[in-house]
Amino acid sequence: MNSRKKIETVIAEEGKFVSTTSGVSMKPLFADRRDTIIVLPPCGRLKKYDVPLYRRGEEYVLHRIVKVLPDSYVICGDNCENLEYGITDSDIIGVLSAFYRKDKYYTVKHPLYRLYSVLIVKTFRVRMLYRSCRRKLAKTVRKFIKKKKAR
Amino acid sequence: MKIKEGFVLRRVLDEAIVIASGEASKNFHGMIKLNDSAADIWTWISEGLDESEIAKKLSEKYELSEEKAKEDTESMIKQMSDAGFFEI
Repeated sequence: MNSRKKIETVIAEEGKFVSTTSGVSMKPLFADRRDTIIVLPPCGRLKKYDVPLYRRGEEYVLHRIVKVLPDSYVICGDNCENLEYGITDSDIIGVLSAFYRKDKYYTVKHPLYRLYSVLIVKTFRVRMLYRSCRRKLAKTVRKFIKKKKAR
Repeated sequence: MKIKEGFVLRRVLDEAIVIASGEASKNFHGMIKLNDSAADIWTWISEGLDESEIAKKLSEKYELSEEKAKEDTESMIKQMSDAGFFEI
């Protein structure tokens, strides 16, 4: 039997959810099992750059809003390449309000964090282009080495 | 007396909360709320103070009798030990 409380229940009971980050989708902001997130219940519609916690099937996801649509949000992890569409307010459980990165505390109002949020979203296409070029280059190098070894 | 690696005290909205990070977070998913004195005891243990030093500091900070401070310290340490927060 799984005795773990659902995050929704924790937020409803405690008014907040505090946890350690897990996964790499929000790198470089959060590292796997290193940082602490403080999530509060959402107050009305969220804004671009907000980081909601929502459910995707059985798993919980904490990714950033990159675009606000009239009835939903376009969301993407800071380290992800695919945009997620169709996330609505009813999917959202909470929103990132503050965090400890390593052992330093930041709120989402911190100027450095705000600057990071804008930069990470604005540079999305450039970062994707860079990754694509890097992958293609690595593939070419691998092919070249393979050919050389075969000779 | 040493707190297991991975358990960290975080101050969140005027509350002290202990959560797990790193490897410890694979098995411990909860958050434990501590009151002010418990949070102080946790911090002093993290700093390497022994039980009598903690009781003395507690007595000074909260203006408790030595006996009461010793009792509270022992009780908190027992609870932490029972919860598995100490390295064996």
